[in-house]
Amino acid sequence: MVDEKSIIRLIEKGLPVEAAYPFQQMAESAGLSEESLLSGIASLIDQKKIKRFGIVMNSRALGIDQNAMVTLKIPEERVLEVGEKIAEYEFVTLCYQRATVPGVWEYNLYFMIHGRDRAVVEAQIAKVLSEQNISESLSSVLFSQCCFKQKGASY
Amino acid sequence: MSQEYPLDKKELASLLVRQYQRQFPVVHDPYQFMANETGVDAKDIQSTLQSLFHEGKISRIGPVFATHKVGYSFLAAVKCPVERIEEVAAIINSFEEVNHNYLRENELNLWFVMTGVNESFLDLKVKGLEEKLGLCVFRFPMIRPFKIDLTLKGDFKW
Repeated sequence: MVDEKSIIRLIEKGLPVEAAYPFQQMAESAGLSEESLLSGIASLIDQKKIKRFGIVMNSRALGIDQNAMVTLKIPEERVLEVGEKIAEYEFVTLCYQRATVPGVWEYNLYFMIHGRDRAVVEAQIAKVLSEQNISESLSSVLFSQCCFKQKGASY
Repeated sequence: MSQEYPLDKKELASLLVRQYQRQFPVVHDPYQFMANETGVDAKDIQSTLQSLFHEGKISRIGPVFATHKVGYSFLAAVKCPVERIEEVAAIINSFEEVNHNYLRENELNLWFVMTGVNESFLDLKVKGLEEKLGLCVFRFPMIRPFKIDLTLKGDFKW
């Protein structure tokens, strides 16, 4: 059994797209058998350490460049309920609870919308806030102005 | 399922993305596997994916890790004076552990994600980063995910 870290480091940059048999080429480059690489990836997927193994799009290159991070102050006892509801909106791409920094940033629930048109994204944000009865004063909307870096995780 | 008419490149690209964003075949011959599933020639599939990759429309074909289950990761932000944005962003980006870095409309204006093998390793990196920047780095680790699997849907404008 090849150790997990070696598999993770080998695959984190993605497949060699020029290779006819990309997994074989990756395995050989690291002195592994292709079988052990394929089963190592399958095991990471089973354990849900890999959320998905697939085509990763560059959304900005496709014109999806209006990305809003919406942060909310939700009372601790309601975070679970509100988070689950917000996650149900199809246009919401990400939603999670995060730690706060008292006195600096006290928003605890975050969601993101990726779109092509700022006005559309703003309307979607307004819809979520009004349907979930969240006052605007308890929210902060941070559109991205510029992306300095966007790559996969490396370990 | 076989195609009655040859697909043009954009149609083929949309088909591949719809079908293989979440689950690319992890097998010896993935292109032949996709050919069998879609009825499209394996060579056309591979060359379409290659050209999307070279055009920068596909970032990679590979894993998206659950960063809360593999290693350690957090969102972080700094309050950067406007006149230092480019310099500060470049220093942040020079850290291999930084995988996203966005300028956003707020006093806390540079938001980035750091990922590494464990928390103590990233603690050291953050200290080093704060020294280089002369700014405080605030950290916002994830407590609970509600939706974390970002895939794109709908009509793609290739």
